[in-house]
Amino acid sequence: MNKGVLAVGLAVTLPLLGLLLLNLGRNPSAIASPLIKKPAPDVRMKNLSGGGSLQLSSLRGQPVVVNFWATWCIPCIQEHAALTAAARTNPDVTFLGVVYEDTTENALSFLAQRGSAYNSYADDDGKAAIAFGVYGVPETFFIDAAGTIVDKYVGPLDDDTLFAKLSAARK
Amino acid sequence: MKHTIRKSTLRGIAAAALVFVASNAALAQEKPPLPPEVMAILGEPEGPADGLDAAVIGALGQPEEPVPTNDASIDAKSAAIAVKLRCPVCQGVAVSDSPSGMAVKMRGQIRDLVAQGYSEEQVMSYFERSYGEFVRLEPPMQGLNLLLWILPGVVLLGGAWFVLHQARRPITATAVSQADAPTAAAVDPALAKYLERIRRDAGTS
Repeated sequence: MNKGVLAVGLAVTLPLLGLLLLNLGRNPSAIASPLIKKPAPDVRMKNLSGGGSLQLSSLRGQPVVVNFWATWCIPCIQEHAALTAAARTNPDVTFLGVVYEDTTENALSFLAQRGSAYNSYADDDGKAAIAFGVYGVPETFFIDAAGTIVDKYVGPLDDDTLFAKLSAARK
Repeated sequence: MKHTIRKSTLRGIAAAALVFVASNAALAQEKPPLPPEVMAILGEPEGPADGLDAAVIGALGQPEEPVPTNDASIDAKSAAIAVKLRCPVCQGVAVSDSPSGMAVKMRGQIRDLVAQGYSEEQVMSYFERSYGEFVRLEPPMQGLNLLLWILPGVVLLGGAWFVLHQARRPITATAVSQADAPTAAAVDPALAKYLERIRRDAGTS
């Protein structure tokens, strides 16, 4: 009987222990994007300054960085300088910002104050954010020249992380 | 005479219909380009010519169902889908129940897709494509998910069996038999003589 109880106990606890050990290093709040290694959604976004829009597929043939941001998001403000610098030093990569849950006026005045090296687009109906599966801001997607999402970064980017992710998008 | 009139009338109607269809088809194919000053104000057209979103067509293809004509049926179908989708910026709340801006936009997207004739499963899979299975409040009954449905039942039945099994066993069977009782020396040599005395007094040795 004792052996039986032990066997049942082990059968229940060992798989749970295995699950615990397997996931010890994982960030519980990070949910892997199912879009990695998939073609980037061909969203159309309106230019922030009005007049004209961008169909994402028109940028095929060059690496693209899509950064979802908002003026109310402190980490977005933190990473703004790194993104602007990276856009200036990597002319072969197209950077674009998508304003998430914010007004065009706020975004324009933020960019006027802090400067920018790339275009930002409005996503008033949230279709771009939904198509990219955005949970919050900042989220940045790295797309290779073939239009495939190679990586996604959640949180504020710094120079080193950007450099590493850009190298992956260039491959 | 009557017969010939009828025939010619029919021919005329058929010819007129043909001309109408052909001219419409030609118009549809050759949309005159908008003048540059109008384009400067309006910008480029909102989406592909058929009104469908390129990102959605890329993910789902064409709608599976006919385009609903009735607003009430679009609303009802959209509401039924919003109940089954998880709001990604909330904690375990359905898109239908969340007041967040993202949930409002998701409800708008659901309605748009339903209005274009996309089926419930197509709409669900559109959101699943970007957010993963996590976005479904009820994970589909397949693969590892089956454990979610089966395991509680198995554990409940197993527990019931264990309790019944224990209840049916005679109490004496669980009592430690004389033979299994540890000898005094094995427990504590210093206590051996006392244990021996107790057993003698009780008449068990």
